[in-house]
Order: sequence, then structure tokens, then C-alpha cells
Amino acid sequence: MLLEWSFAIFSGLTLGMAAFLVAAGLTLVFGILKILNFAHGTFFMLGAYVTYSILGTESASMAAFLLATLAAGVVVGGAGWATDLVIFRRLRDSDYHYTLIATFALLLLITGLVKIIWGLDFRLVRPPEVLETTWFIGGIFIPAYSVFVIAAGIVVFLILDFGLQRSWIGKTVQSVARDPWMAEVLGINNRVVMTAAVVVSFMLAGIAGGLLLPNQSLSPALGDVFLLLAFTAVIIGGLGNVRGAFIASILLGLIESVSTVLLPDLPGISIFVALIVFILVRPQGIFSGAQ
Amino acid sequence: MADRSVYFWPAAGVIALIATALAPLFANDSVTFILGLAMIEAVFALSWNLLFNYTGIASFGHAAFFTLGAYFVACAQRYGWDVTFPLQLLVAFALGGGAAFAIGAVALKRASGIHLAILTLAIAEVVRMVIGYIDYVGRDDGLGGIPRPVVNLGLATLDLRSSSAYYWCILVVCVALALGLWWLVRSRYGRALRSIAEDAERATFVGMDIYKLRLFSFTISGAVAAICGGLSAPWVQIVTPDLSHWLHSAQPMLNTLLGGSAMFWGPAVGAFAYSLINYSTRTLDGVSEIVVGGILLTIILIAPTGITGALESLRRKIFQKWRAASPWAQVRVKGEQI
Amino acid sequence: MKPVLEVTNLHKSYAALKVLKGLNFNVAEKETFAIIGPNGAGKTTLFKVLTGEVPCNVGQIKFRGTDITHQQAFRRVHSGFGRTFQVARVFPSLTVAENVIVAVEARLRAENVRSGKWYHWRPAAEVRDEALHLVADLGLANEAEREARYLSHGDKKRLEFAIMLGGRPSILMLDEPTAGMSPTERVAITDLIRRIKSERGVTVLMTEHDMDVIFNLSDRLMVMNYGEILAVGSPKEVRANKTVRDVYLGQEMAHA
Repeated sequence: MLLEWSFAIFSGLTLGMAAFLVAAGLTLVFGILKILNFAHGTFFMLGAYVTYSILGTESASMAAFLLATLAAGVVVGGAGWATDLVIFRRLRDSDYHYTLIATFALLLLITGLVKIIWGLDFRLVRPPEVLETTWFIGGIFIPAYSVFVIAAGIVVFLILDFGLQRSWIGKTVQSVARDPWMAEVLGINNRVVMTAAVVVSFMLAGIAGGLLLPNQSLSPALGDVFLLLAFTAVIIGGLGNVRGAFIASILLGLIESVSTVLLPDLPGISIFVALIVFILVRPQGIFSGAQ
Repeated sequence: MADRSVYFWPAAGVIALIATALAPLFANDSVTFILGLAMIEAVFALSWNLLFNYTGIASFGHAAFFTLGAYFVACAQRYGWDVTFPLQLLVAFALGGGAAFAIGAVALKRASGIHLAILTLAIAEVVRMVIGYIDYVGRDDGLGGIPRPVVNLGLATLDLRSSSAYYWCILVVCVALALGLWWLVRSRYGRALRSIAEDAERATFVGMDIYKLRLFSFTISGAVAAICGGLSAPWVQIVTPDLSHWLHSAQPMLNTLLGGSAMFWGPAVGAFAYSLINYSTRTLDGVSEIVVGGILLTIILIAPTGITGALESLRRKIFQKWRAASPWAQVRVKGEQI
Repeated sequence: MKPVLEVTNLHKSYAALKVLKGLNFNVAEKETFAIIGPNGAGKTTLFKVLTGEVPCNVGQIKFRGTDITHQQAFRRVHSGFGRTFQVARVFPSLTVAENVIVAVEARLRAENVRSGKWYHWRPAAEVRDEALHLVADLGLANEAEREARYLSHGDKKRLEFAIMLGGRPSILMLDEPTAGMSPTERVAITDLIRRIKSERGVTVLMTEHDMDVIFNLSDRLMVMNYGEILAVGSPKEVRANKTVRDVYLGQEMAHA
């Protein structure tokens, strides 16, 4: 019983960090452009497919895996640049409904492209050799790959948090997020900052796709699963709040894994219940939304 | 002389209606099938636009109500519940309205904008998942082989088992629903809703209870969506949890923007136009997503007024030229001068 | 005579910022009561608290003897509040007539609810007549069928007054009614307010920057500074008040 629980907590942490890897870019773009990108999960999926195309299904070396992931980040980041140029920039001053619907349309478009290019089949990709081992610690099996995912989540969080809170880049970005007009007056090029934010957000999605590719069943539906998880994390953490998203992701991972122990017959529903409850009870998130 | 251009839209509407009504007589089965579906999707889109254009709410999970109605009628038909078909539709209407009222009562009080968008999306996903857990409705495989109804009217029976008979049934119900919505939009309630969509805070200060009016609109919209679902089940003869997928929630959105959200009949025009496009492209996996997504994006970026918007400006241009060219125009101008 | 509006110990703060610091004042029946003060004095916040847009932290607001402190904005409208905005707000894609019809219908709905009839049919023509009457009364008869977005700034203001009057208010809350207007328009709006007051016997509560308008219209003035009341009294008394002179009126008084 105890073992079952400690395993649940561990796998919850893994899921939570995976969710954060996707949520990070989502919340970043919302924080700065006030755009909720429905297509974010789809670009995450695209990143996973790109990595898969480079690596194949067999175990690769760690270096190849990381390089392929980076390549996915660059490809998806490029898609982000195009998206900003064609969609976000044109719709910046229009009603937010239209931006939402536009990203929704993008979700469909990219899903369709992925289906045409890679087909509908499920694929299973093995992790790099180094991460294929499993450790037996304190009576539970701990896959090295899970530890890697947790570590990756923490590293991405630390980089983002440091970048946003401490560096001059972060201060520039935050001033644009708070008051674009004032920032413009102070001589900051809003356009560049916003485009950069979109590109970074998409890159994060692509990298997350690469990092989380192993041990997933890769299919065009992969994006949906993670999108809703990430949405929930972003809402619970407070829209636009990276720290909030980090803590909320951990919380969500734990909720999900605990509920698989308690309610094995209803897989996946606890996340939605958490999402709905949070929107209704505390729409501003666990922190008051200010970043 | 009256301005004849005002007859453009009513005339176009009557012609379209007659053509649709006569379709089963000369079109083949698959075209008839698609037209039947288009009518249902048209009304579904009109119900979505009641929220979007006339109330200022964007629902991203409208398919949930459609699914509710579809599953109710599917179960009633498939398991032979002792409920006559018109009553089934009415119950679907009530179920959809009830569910929308319950959801709206909480959601519209607590959430707005982006939160409301995600909330509606999540609710539709929950509906999809919950259906997948229930054996009675066939879990992920759905319910197939749904028979079309025979309605006992007491004196006579109405046999809707043939495809053309059920097609006309769809036509009658859809026209009735569309006219009902049309009346609503033009009524004093519609006017109140429109003012809320334009400026909710301003509307508060003419003494409108915007929460109540939005809830009213949400309820009606959900009820109409459910009756559309109910109508579709015996037509398609299968229901699956994917009816509640966000791809289906995107359908009314697409039809509305394609047809033009600003005019009442825009979404219906969009539904038929989309069916036409879809009929010629639905072959490969993924193509339908690309078509839907691509059209949606193109419209938003390039022609946000949609088909009816484009036609309307064309109508103005053409009739202006026609009037200028007509000899009567000169006479009228002279007459006015005297 | 019993006051129409009684405000007791009203406090409002945003986070650590105290905007209103315990205001007490009354507005009497049928008077024109103007609130003035420099920018940041808390006029706008006070206005929003009174109309119900923003809740107050502490204090009480009574309207004709009833406590309305926690009443929602639209219910205050039902009980007799009318309001205009600093920048005229109308429903841009509705026609001028429809703008007013919407207001009249909202009032009728509220009257039905109050009288216990859940629905009481009134012929559309009757509603329309009332609205068109108001539209004509405010000099917009020729614009009745135009969409409101095409109106000039001054006409939008008139339409806003027509919308307000469609609710048959007993107290008008006017937020800087002449903001951004030319001197001619200003005089026209001042005359309009005076006419509405004499024809309908309403109470007026307004904020305003323009001293001519204020001294022309108001029976009593309330001067605010930093969330507190500096002085209340007739224009004469306020003019004579030393503190007010020092803090606020200074320059403008020289012209008045």
C-alpha cells in the first residue's frame, strides 16, 4: 500500500513536470501578448514528430537525442515566428474572440498536416540508452527517464524564472507585458519583444515535444492530452504566471496520479474536474496573477 | 418607386428554400444526405451565433449540447423507448436547455472571456469522456443502427423511415427553429441581447440584468443545439462520443464566420457553403482538418465579414449601378426636383 | 425635507491606496449637487461607488431611505438612477431610435417585475412612440433611423441623455457632462440639463471641471481633495471659503 502510494507520488511528479514543460510556453505568451494559444499543444506534438523523424524509434545516444530535441525546438520556433508574422501581429488590435478562434483554426490546420505527413498510427519511441535503465530505490522501481523528465522540468523552470525575474531581458519583457504603450515611449521595440516571446514560447513547445517523446504513444492526439493538462496548469497557476504554472503543474500531476489509484475506472477525468472547479471558484489562480 | 434591392435577400432565401425542399426529388442519395446534414448544421450554427453575435459570448464547447440531444434520441429510437418522436425532440430541447441553464447559471456568474472559453471547452471534453465510460451508450464505439421513426398521429401515421420523408421532416423542424430564432433576435429580447453584446456595462446602466439575459440566451442556444443533435441521430443513424469533440464544437464557429456573423442568416449560408467544400475534399485523413482550419484562418485574416458580408457589399454596388443606368432613375430625380 | 441620497462614512481603497476616506454628505430633493476637486481627488471613484460599479469597503449609501450600499448597479437604475458617462457611450450599431427603445423596454421589464406581472405585453408601437418622443425632444428627430456610430460627439451626448431619460430616472448622475466639448456645445448642454430639471423635477448629481457650467447650474457644491471633503455649500459660500480658494479654486476664481 505504502509502495503503491510512493510510486503514485513519483509518477505524479513526472507527469507534473511534463505538464510544466508544455505549460511554460503557453503561460509565457499569455503573460506578454495576452493571447491564449489553443494551438500550443499541437506545436508540442509537432516537436515530438520532428524529433521522431530524426531519431527513429530505436534508442539513440544521449547527445543525438538532445540535438534532435534542439532541432525540433528550432523548427517549431520558426513556425512560431511565421505564426506571429501572419496571425498574431495582424490580429493584435482585434477582438480577443477572433484571436482565440484563429489559434483554434491553427490547431486544426497543424493537426491535419501532421496526419497527412505522418499518418494516424501510434508509435512508440524508446529513450536514449543511458536513460533506459531502471533503478530500484526504497522498494520502488524508478525509471531513469522519469528522473530525466523531472530534472528537465526543473532546469527549464529555473532558466525561465531567472530570465524573467533577474535579467535585463526579463525586465524589458515585463515592462512590455504591463504597459506596451509606456514601454514604447521608453524606447523599447514592442514588436521585437513580442515576436521574441512568441518564438521562445514555440521553441519551448518544440523542445518539450522532443524531451517527452520517449515512452509516449506518439499519435496526432498527443497534443490534445497535453494541451488540456497545460491549460489546467496555466489557469490554476494564474494566467501569465510562470512560477504559478510550475507549482500548479506539480499539484496537477499529483492529483492525476492519486486519482488513478483511487478511481481507476475513470481515467483522465480528474484533470477536467480540477480545471472546471478552479475556473469557477478561483479564476485568478492560486497566486493573484501578478507576475 | 421603391428601392427594389431590399428584395434581394428575401428572394435569395425563398429560392434557396425551394431548391432545398425539392432536392430529394432529383438529387442522388449522397447529395440528399449531405443537404440534410447541412440543414442541421445550419441551425446549430445559428444557435451558436445567437451567443456570439447577439450576446457577445463565444462558446468553445457548444457541441456538448448537440451531443446530449443526439444521444437521447439515439437511445430512445434504438432501445424503443415508448416516447413518440416529436416528444423525443421536445425532451431533447428541454434537456439541452436544462443543461445549458445549469452550466450557464454557474459559469456566466463566475467566468467570462478566456476563462469562459476554456470552461466550455472542458465541459464538452468531460461529456465526451463520460460517454466513453458508459456501457449503455456503447462507450467509445457509440450507438449504431439507429432506426428512423414512425410517428403515430392518432388518425394517420407518418412514416419517416424513408430517406426523403425524414429529409422533409428535418426541413420542417429546421425551418421552424430558424424562424423561431429569427423572431427572437428581432424581438425586444433580441434587441436587449444585442445591446449587451455591444457594451455590457452600458447596458447595465439602462437597467438591464445582464447576467439574467445572458443566461436566457445561453439556455435557448443550448436547447436549440440539443434539438439539432436529436434531429441528426436518426439521419446519420449512428452517434459517437466524437460528436462532443472540439472539432465538432468548431463547426458552428466555422460556419458562422464563413457565412458572416453580422447577418442573421450568415451562419446558415456558411453551413451550406462548407458542406459543398467538404463534399469535394473529404477523402484523405487530415484533409478535413486542413480545410476547416485553413478556411477559418483565411476568413479571420482576410474577410472577417464572411460570404454574406461580401454579397451585401456586392448587392449595394450592383443595385447602385443598375439604378443609375435605369431610365426611371432620371425621371425620379426630375420628379423630386419639381 | 428628507434627503434623496444619504452617504455615511464612505471608505474605498484599492490595495494600500486610500481613495475615499470616510465621506459624509446628503443630497436634497430636486437640487443640483456638483462634486468638484482636482484630478485624483476621488471624484470618479465616488461616482462609481454611488452608481454601483465599484463596491465600497466601509460605509452606507441610502437612497430615499432604503439602504442601497450593496445593491447591484442595474437595480439602482430600476429604483431611479440615471447615468451618463464622461465620454458618451451609446450602442454604436443600433439605430438612434433603437438605442432609446432598449432603455424604455428595460424600464418596462423592471416595472413588470415590480408589479408582480411576470409578463405584460405592451404594443411595440407604444414603446416606439415613447422613444421617438424622447429622440425628438432632444433634437435628434432627423437622425432617428441612423446607426448611432455615425453621430457627432455632441449628438452622441444628446442620445445618451435620451437613453437615460428612457429609464425615467428621478436622480441624474452626470459624469462630466461637458467634457471635451466646444464652448457652444457646452452652453447647449448646460441649457439642456436646466430644461430637463425644470420639466421633470429631477435631482442632479454631477462632477464637472468647467467652472462656468458648475456655477451656472449647481445649487450646492462639494469640494473634494485627497479623498476628503474640503467644503460643502452654495456656490457663494464655497467661493468665500478660504481653504478652497487656497487649494483649488485659485486661478479659476479670478475669472469667475
